[in-house]
Amino acid sequence: MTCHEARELFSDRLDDQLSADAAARLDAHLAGCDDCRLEWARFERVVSLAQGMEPSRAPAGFVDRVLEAARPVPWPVRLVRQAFTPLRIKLPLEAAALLLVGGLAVMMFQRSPEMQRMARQETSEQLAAPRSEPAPVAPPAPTPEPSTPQSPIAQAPPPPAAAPPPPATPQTPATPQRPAAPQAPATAEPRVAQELRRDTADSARRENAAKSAAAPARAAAPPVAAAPTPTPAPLAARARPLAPDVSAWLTVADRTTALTALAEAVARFGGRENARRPDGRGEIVDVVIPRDAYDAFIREVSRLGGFASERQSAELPASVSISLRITE
Amino acid sequence: MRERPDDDTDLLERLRAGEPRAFEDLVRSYQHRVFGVALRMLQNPAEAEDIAQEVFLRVHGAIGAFRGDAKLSTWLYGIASNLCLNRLSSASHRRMRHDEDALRRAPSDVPDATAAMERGEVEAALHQAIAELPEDRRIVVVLRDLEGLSYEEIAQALDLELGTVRSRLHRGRMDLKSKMERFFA
Repeated sequence: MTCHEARELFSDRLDDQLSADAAARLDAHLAGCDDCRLEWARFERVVSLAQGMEPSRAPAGFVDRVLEAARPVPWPVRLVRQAFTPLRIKLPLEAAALLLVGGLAVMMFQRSPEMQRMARQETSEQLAAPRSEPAPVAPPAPTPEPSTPQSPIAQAPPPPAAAPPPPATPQTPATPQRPAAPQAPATAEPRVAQELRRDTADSARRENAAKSAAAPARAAAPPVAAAPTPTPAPLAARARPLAPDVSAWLTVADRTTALTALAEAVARFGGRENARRPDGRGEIVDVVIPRDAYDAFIREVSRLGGFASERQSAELPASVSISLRITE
Repeated sequence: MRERPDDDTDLLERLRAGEPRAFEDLVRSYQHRVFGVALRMLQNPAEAEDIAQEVFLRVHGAIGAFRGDAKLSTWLYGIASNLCLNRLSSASHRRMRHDEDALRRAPSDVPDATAAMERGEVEAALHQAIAELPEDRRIVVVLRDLEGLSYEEIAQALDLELGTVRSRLHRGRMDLKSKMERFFA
């Protein structure tokens, strides 16, 4: 037996896997070979050390963790785990998706005029609903106004989609012929809605005053809801505190003449006079003019005297409300 | 080397009958052995626990399919060995091991032979030597010399020929002797 052959048998010899004959031949070789005997001793020592190593122990709580993991998981928990785990990956993805959808929704809303219009209408309707009861009929105004039969609701600014905003200051009856009467909003206009909120405190007072003023008229006429009265629309009905689109001064030689000419101009350009009230040395006249006729109207008014624009909105609505301060 | 339970017949019967406590008894009985094999193979306690847990979960799910041709312990060792070898062959583990090897080699370049003669040092060196064995030899050495399985059980667990087991065990032991040579000078 060579040294190589002898050393190939070490493992089997150690584990008693050799036949008696092979074991005897190996022992004989080892007895006569110092190198192999030394190698055998070292081999035996290493295997003995390995077999004597301290066994590893599972960490504390291992059994509980295994039992917990082996327990069947209820389906809701499984669903949540599937939806969110691994958190590090799925949570940012889900957050990004939410932001994307939200952003797209906002973008679509901003770029879609129809949706914006719908949202505005809904808001205005909600705000205007409590105020939509019929307003009392006010006494007829002496100014040239459309005298077509109108229901109280329709006494608000006529056809143009956007209702002209009324004068800026709260109105009290400027003259005995023009008692200020509260008016329900006729159109869905955000400015009107804002105004409705703003003058809530004043409205009750005005309504009471208007009701008392309109009581005789209502007694003589059939219910307004049943049949429209031929009563002309009261011009001072829109006495609501909202800044006009245009404020201007008009200095004239004769105020009475100027007022008459102004009334004619208003009627000619398809507008209407809303209110007239004294102001110190002069008089303030609130009128509403269709935007298309605004420039021509201003040119006409400028011919009556010294016209000076005090304030003008950057963008004029379909019906332009003008507060004209007329002094001599 | 660990002492091994004589007979798992009763435990196996209880497991097959679906007795609630049987699985817990199985885990309690084999936790250290399964974890030990995984730790010797992977050299990483966290990974070893992960693998050990996986072993028991697989047993839990497949106990009905266990035919009983081998001993329950052999079956467990077989699952553990295969999971470890699969993990070791995965690309991520190879990369990690490469980094660990680089770290490990640095201090061994300056061996202190005198201090290393202390038993603790010898055992640490032996741990290291086992860890450096090729995986196919290491698993056989671990199952035979650390866990005390017979050649036949190892062949069954690893699905190897008996001759292959004998050969790999011998080569592994000789590798260990070579690596521990400096302690016998």
